Amino acid sequence: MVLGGRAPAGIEWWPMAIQTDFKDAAQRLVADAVMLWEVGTKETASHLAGVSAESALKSLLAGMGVIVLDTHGEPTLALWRAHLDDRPPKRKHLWNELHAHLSGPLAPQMLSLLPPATPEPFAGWELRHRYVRRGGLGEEQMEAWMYAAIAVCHAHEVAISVGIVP
Amino acid sequence: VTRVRFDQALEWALAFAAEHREVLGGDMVVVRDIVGRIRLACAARPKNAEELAAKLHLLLGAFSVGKDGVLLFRDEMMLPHTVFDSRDLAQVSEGVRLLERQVTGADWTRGPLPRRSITSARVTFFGIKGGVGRSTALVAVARHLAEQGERVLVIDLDLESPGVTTSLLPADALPSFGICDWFVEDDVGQADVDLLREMVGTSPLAAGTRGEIRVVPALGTTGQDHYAAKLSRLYAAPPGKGDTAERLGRMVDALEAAERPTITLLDSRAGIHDIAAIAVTRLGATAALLFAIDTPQTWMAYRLLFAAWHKDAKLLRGFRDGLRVVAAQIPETGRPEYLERLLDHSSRLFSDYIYESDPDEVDAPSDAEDALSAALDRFNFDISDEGAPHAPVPIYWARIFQDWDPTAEQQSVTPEQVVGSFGPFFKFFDELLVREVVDT
Repeated sequence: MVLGGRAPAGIEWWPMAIQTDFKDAAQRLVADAVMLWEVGTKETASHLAGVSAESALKSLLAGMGVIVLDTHGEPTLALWRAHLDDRPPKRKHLWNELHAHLSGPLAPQMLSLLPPATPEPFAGWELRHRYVRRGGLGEEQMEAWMYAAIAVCHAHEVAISVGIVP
Repeated sequence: VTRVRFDQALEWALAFAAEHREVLGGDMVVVRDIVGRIRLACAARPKNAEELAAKLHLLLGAFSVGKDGVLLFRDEMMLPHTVFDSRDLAQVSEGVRLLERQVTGADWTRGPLPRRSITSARVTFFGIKGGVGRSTALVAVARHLAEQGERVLVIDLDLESPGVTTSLLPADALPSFGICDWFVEDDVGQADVDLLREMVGTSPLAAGTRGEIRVVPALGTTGQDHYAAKLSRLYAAPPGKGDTAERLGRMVDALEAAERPTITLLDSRAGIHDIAAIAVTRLGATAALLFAIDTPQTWMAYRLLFAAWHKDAKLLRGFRDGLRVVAAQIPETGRPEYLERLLDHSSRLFSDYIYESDPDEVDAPSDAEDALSAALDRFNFDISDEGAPHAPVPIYWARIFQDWDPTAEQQSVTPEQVVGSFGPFFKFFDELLVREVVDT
């Protein structure tokens, strides 16, 4: 039994379905990450940083028309439902792909706000770190993820303000 | 230290791709991003991928994104469609395509949009340099066509420097809205038929003729104080509305559907400008007139533009038939010699970038019939061919046109003087309309 998320194949109405909202999730999660960082809960903060960046990125890509979201707000292709650390070879290119995709009058602004593609801004970040023991991650590493997440979410905010993300 | 320059980086990336084509899977895209950095997207990851990435990284110098990102492999990409299925791909050599990511000017390298209205001829007036009498020629031909009983629609696309409108519409004939209003209203879903109706004014220039001149200005009477605020939003691409070219195409289609002109004249911005790109290559113009005066600056600038087109034969096929040079402002003295020089320069320009040359002997078909058929199919013209794109349609300069106000009640220019300067230009339009009727 699938709880929440997408309906099983062939079923149109699915009461368990949740509505995904990457735009809202990005805004909420990065604020939570910053708050937790400030009170010293850095492992949870850096976990949320990665998830907020992932949400902002998906919202941005959907706004740019690069990925398509279904009626539940989920990417239509399984390929696009990856987390930042899913299937390591794919994650490796993601930021590079985003930089290579940018074009048009708003591209310079976006490029100046996004973190550099190399070195990979979320290198080493893993979803399973949410279970990490306190002090189990390097301070410098966590700080880099926080900076990258704030940069991506800031770019996302600008994208909202200029109409790239509706 | 030898620095790799912008042009070299691309040249070497393309050569690298061609050299390693087989090992990298055959289908490759060289992507140059908005700051000129290059990545090579390949179909498959070879065993020596890291070695090849390091080699390419070194070749590209500062235009590499780093050896970890310089090679992208299709199966490992999250967004492969943005590269391999992009509409902006240009075939460079077998198995190697180029994808230029640009901040502006991408429309110069995009093909024509599908036209929804095909009832009228559409002619773009373009000059690579300004101040060559382009708008004056448009006004003169609009009046001539109205005299022939045609219903002419003039669209002023010189948005940054509106000009033709003032020659056609006195202040009291200006409609409420203009093209920039259409864009800001379309942003919020309000570019409807009511707005279109209030965007078109009737020119008194056609008074007393059998025809009509309807004019769509860049700006109307409403909100002239806010023109810059509207213009600055013109290139926004709200989700679901399409890019500027698609939106402009939609607007022109809708105007033609509402106005039912027999001919639409688009006055384009001069220079290598985004709106000019759209007007020349993307709006499906029956003819795109390239105004030229015979100066080195003119030909150099046209060469820069033609070189961009030359990269993509498929793109060129979409609009090359409609290109036509106009010899603007031919001086009052030494006309034959001047025209001969201009023809020579124009012919060379087209031969270098647009016309298809004869195949090498090795590629030439051996069969005589095939060879004849191939020669006929080739897009090529003799220098003396008067119907060729490079053959200049002459407009003779005369001092009297310097202060000409075509809408003034007291005309300083006689009809004979107009014909004396614009006669061959009018003839070009007469023939174009006959061709259109036959084609339709």
